[in-house]
Amino acid sequence: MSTVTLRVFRFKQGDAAPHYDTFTVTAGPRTTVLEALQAVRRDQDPSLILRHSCHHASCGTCGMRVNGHEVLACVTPLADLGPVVTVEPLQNAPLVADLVVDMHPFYATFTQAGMPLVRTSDNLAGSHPAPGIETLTRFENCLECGLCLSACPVVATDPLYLGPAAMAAAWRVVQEPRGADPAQALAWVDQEHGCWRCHLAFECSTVCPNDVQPGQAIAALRQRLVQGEPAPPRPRPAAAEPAPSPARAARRGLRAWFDPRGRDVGYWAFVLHRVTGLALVFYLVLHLWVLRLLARGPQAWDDFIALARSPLFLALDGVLLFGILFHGLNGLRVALVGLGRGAARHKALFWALMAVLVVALLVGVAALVAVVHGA
Amino acid sequence: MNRDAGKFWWLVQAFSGVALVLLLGMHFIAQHYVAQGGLRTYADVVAYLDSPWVLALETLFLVVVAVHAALGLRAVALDLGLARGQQRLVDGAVAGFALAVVFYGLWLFTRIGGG
Ligand code: SF4
Ligand code: FES
Repeated sequence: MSTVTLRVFRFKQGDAAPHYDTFTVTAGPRTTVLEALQAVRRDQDPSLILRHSCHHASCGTCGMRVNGHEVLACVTPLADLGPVVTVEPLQNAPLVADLVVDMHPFYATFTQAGMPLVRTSDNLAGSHPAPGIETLTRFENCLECGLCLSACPVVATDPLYLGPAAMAAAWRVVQEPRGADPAQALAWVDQEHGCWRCHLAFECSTVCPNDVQPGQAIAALRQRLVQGEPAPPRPRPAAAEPAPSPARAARRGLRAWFDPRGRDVGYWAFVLHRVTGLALVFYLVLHLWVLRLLARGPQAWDDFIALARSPLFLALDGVLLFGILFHGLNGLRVALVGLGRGAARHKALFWALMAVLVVALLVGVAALVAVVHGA
Repeated sequence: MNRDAGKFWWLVQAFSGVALVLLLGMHFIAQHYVAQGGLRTYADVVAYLDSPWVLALETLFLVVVAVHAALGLRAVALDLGLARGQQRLVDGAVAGFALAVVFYGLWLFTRIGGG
């Protein structure tokens, strides 16, 4: 048995601001975070609010953030997490109290996707896909836990975004309609704040406890739409209308873009793509502004060129080169994966492109150094 | 914004991005190899833009970069979940930005070419 300190997020309706309470618990090798929290509620603070049901990764109700990562508390061993463990509610959903968020808006998206929340069967071991089904991956596997919503950087800022789980459900309907209308599901995701809003950070797929792979499902939906699947007129669902302000307030907002701690590589790539993109737009404006010197005649331009060949300018050129290379190469990945090409191997593709970046950057920096020495 | 706008603009963004990777490569190659030793002096720039091929390449580059940058700004704005009225405002603003970039670039070309 070891002793673990739990730092638990606390908030009750009417509180001015949330705070953290500290509890000391004892943990055996198999004690889970959920069991530890239940022990706190039983023995130390009965006012602690948390939600759970099945205790075996099936109901999806115990989703929370533990040390900054979205997990199902009922299958997360406490012993692996260090002496101090921070427990917080999911992000990007309205907070009810302590570790509980309001899941109603999230559940409603499943109905809109055309997939009912209640499923009737699962694949038996050794069974084969029915004719017309591409893989045995079953999006009924979705637990509706909401971990993907909490991790997604687009959900963090866009209250109109349909979200990864709902679009995975829509793709499930397209793959195996079972009486539902796939064209309606496609029409529903084919909107600015639907599958085209996704930036393929794949954080949803990283945190999903049941391998639903929503990111890959979104890429597949896009591929199907680009291939020209006919889509009937879409009645605009209520959730796609501008959301009321509490829904916006419940989201992390832009903080999510600038705080990729603990996130996987796709999330970092998303943040860096945004930062380099904005920086390159700034550079474009600066570049055009400098080029106005050309309109002033030879002296102004030649003076500028002399300045541009100084070591400081050339160092900034190196930074610019990195920005261009990263944005260009990661952009190729986004374009390819976004069209459904290589979605299953998006990480390998990313690292292969980053290897190209390193080689090109070294060549570019060597050329800049040669300019300094040859100037 | 009609339903297809999301797909349409995403595809334009993706293909303009791929085109930029190629055009930027050609832009660098043209500047550093066609113009031997790079564009070091004003005279080099004038001589460089004298070629109709170079002018066509640079104009295409200018248009594609303006479109891609404008759509990128629009994507960032849409990520923030704007209301429909604000979204139209953003559409207008980024279209204005793209047009300003293209016309300013074309004006520069004529100033340099015409002395
Ligand atoms: S897709 Fe995965 S992470 Fe998202 S709600 Fe379903 S099971 Fe949870
Ligand atoms: S309690 Fe049901 S998934 Fe954790």
